[in-house]
Amino acid sequence: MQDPDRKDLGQAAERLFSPGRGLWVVPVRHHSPACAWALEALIRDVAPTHLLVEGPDDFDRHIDNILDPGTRPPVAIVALTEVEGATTLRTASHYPLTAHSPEYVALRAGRTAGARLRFIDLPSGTFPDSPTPAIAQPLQDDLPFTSGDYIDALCQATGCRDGHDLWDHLFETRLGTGNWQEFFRDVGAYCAGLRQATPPDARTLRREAHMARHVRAALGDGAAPRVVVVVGGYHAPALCDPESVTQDAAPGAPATSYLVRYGFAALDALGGYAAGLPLPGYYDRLWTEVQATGAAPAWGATALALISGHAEALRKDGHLQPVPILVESLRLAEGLARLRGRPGPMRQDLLDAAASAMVKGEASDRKLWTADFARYLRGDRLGQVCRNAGLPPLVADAQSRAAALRFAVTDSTPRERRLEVRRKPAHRAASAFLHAMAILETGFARMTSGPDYMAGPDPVHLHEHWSVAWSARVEARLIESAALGDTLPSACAAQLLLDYETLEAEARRGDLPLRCRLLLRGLLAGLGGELMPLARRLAQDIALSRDPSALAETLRQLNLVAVTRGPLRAPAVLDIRALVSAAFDRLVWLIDSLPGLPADDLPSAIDALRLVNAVLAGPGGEALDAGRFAAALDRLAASRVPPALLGAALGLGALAGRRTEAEVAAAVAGGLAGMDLGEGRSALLAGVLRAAPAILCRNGPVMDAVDAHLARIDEPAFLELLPELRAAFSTLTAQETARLATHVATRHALGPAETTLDPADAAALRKVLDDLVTQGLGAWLAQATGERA
Amino acid sequence: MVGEVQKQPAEIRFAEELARLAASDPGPRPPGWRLSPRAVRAFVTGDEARGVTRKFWGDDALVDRCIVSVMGLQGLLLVGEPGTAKSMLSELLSAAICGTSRLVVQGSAGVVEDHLRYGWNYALLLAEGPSARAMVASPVLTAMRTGQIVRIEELTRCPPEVQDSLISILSERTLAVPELGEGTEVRAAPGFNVIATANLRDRGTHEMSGALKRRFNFETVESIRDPAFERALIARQLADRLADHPAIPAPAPDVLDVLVTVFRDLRTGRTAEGETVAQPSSIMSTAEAVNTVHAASLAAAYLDGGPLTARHVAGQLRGVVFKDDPEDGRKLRAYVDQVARPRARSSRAWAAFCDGT
Ligand SMILES: Nc1ncnc2c1ncn2[C@@H]1O[C@H](COP(=O)(O)OP(=O)(O)OP(=O)(O)O)[C@@H](O)[C@H]1O
Ligand SMILES: [Mg+2]
Repeated sequence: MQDPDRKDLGQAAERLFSPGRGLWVVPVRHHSPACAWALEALIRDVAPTHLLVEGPDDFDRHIDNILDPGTRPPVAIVALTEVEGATTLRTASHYPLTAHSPEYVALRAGRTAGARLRFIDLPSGTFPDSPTPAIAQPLQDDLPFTSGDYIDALCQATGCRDGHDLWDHLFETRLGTGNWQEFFRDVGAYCAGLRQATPPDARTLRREAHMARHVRAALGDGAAPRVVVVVGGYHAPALCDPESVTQDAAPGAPATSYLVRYGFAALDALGGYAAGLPLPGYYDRLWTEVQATGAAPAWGATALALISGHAEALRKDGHLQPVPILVESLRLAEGLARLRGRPGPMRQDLLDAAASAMVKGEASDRKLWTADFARYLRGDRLGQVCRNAGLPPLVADAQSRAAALRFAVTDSTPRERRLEVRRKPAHRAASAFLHAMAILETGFARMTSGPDYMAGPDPVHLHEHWSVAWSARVEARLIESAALGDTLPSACAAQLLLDYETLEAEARRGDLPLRCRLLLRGLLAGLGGELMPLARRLAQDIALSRDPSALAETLRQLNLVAVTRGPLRAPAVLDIRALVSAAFDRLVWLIDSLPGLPADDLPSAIDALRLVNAVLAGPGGEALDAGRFAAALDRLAASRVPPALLGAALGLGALAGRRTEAEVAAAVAGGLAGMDLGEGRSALLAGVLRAAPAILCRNGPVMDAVDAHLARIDEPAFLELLPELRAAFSTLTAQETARLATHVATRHALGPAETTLDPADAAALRKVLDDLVTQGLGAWLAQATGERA
Repeated sequence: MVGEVQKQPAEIRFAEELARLAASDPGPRPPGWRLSPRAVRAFVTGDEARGVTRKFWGDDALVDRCIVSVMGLQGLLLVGEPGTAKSMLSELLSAAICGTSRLVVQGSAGVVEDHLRYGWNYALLLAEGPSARAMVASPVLTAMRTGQIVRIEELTRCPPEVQDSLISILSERTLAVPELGEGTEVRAAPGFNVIATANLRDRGTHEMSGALKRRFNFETVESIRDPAFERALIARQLADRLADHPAIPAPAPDVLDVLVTVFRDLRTGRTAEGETVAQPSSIMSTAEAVNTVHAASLAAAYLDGGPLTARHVAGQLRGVVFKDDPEDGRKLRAYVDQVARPRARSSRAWAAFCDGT
């Protein structure tokens, strides 16, 4: 860093105000109450004819609405800019205004003074530089205030923690005191230092050229104009001499923009991207106070009010803060402020004090508490815009849909809705709307109970129960999604596509079903044909997948959609059948490569085979070519495969009737009696049981082979087999379990008592069977017979 | 810890700095304090203009909070991982605030109430009966009388009922001495306070009672976040320790880099590039890093008669830091294989490090 020369900085500051030329350049920091306060006084004194504010010049048309009595900050201008090549085609930039924003205060004071009000920056279509689709971008640029060697050096010298703390220390401490001349001279010197340390880039120069053009025009407008220019402090040095800025500007196109209500929460998050002071609620409080008293805030009283206000909020959440802790917080805050040479506790002192006094433990809890206090200081106020400001299309669309479906959008009382989605088309439409609002995470609706559509047909939950409440927050969230689309369905489809891309970027193994779920969510939201791009992506991913278990689960999900007559139904254009076939084809293709699978992946591959088999046997299965699956399994059985896989292929083959059970039984017996080649003797049986557990219930040759083997083996060998037996039993249905128990009982002549068990008592039976496997067959049989005797 | 016993207390080591600060200290002093709060801060975090060195590296806001804490009626409890300079900070603060860091109670299972209150000289007690002369004051009682800071090290190692005898001292700021007659008590002079340190997660420590916790402000001291800071600190402390061995040259920068990187990787369980590393249970503090490089320097100079290399560092690391736990040995091996060896391909220091393990 060049060491900024004190004299230079002083000179730069002297150049800000030239009454002789009718030009006052005012360096501000966005959302700084101290700047707002001094600026208000300046405008009162100067009585400008022209008031120029940094901000895209196509925003001029919003000025009347901003100043309308029906508008109350925080509000923002949202600009939607087309972006080539991105998923969502648009990006949203936000230009927020709070009650304590110098820009907002200037517009109000300027109007009172009768000045012409204008924005002077490049049109909004040229923002931002590097679009991140659908993530709100701040239009105001605050970066030089928070980072860089200059800031670091000053922090070191003053003992401040970061650029925000430094700014507070140097300038917010002066809120409500002194005169504007001195204040802005100091801000000007400080900002000239920023500029020396971080020279402007080409884009900044273009913007400044554009702003300078507006300033020149104002200076030439009428006799003896008095021009006040409100710009981010970084730009001030460049605009003091507007004639010398000759760079030619390439003005871009204006974007579509809307004045919308905004919230402290969103503003604070935006602050995270570097657009002004964090914790807006805190600064708003200071501002309200100076407005009311016309003097500096009573820092100590403010600290007290904030600390006790937070305690009050905590009490409502059921956390009681003992009074001594509050007293200590306040004492610490005051003490820290004095130690740091401030007139009273500032933001950082309060946060430090709260952390010290409230946390009786280690740092991890501290972060929690500090975060909670910070949230309190952030506040959650939402602004309001006048009626004729108009709504961004997405908000208007969601509102009109809600109204058409008779959801209240005028108050925020939570209401319950019961939707008979299968019987009443109107209810189905309402359900789709609510699912859509959930995709955008608006917080409008929450399903309290209802069918789990992804799991499969659900005979128990036929209706959906929702709790719904329209609130300003819902609107704020929709505004944040404004870039995604103008209608709810198109915005949802874009959101799902973004979610899809997020999954892609994370690239977790076996996440294909998660991607498929996004499609299903879209169907529930009634997006229909809007899901085409997503379906296309899914088709590509299916065709490339190498993960049999992920594919099988995806096949199951897609098949659900293909056969359903309920809310998951898809329109013909999406051609779900084709997706089902694609998943099936790919699975069949992968079967031939299963022998090369690492041992760890075998169980899940076998599960996949079983799942495919279940899909083929169930509704919709007739539409798939079961023969190809069977043939692939035959090929598998005929090749050199690990025994578990062989067992699975044989078992499924037997279930499908393509080979005899005796054949399977022989292989099982051979495996059990044969040589252990490392996988354990029971591996083949395990494969059979895992893939085709139902085969045991047939009480045929396979059962004979198992039974004969169990009778023969000793305890350790039995224990080796136990996990597989257990796993096999756990996959049986209640009826199958009962049937198997009957077979076991009759085989071992346990008499009719057990065989007459009602299948409805399956739970009890399953327990018995579990004991059977855990204690060992012999022991159990002995005990059972003994009891009978 | 190495060298601790051979060190002078802070008020003697830094007597000149303290005197300079006192001479140029315009700020008001809290009752009983030798320096203003700002001068105390300057003593701990340094002030170039006044020729005061920085002694504690890291979170300056933490130092602010500690100072303001001690000004009040709550005790200050410094907690955190071993070797994060809790004891050092408590020593520096007491030296600057009240001129002595030597009123110390070292917490352990053997501490009894007398160590925190007072005991008796039994010969005198038998000869004269209970008298002020026969009383043996604890450091706590002394600090109360003189209005100074008493330090309690490793507070949580004391048995809980002994810890709890601090409750009344901290809240009433008086200590009753019933043996000297009913109503006899010692009232704390202005300036008295307690700075305790504790390790909340070590084995062999006792949970503090809620009542005692409420009488303390907790501050967590974290390990140094900035690697460059840590490196500079290690270099300086090594130089201090090697002051008696002028023949030993300062370590080469790449050796120090390896040392700092190894300690940080293993401490945080993650390399700067984001690879995860199995964290050993051994303590990978800055203080241990200093011990390691100190021992390695001596070994290099006196056993090998050559300059310090990363091989010596590795040898000490295995012998000193990883001595107790065979599982840690395995983790170190895994670290060498996964992280150090790939680095060794492009760095001679890392190659030497791998050599030495
Ligand atoms: N942030 C730091 N600034 C300066 N020195 C440090 C820092 N961190 C560690 N050290 C060094 O580490 C040494 C160890 O410190 P100390 O013994 O005070 O730690 P501790 O936290 O009390 O450890 P324990 O829990 O083992 O008692 C210090 O004397 C100092 O040399
Ligand atoms: Mg210690």
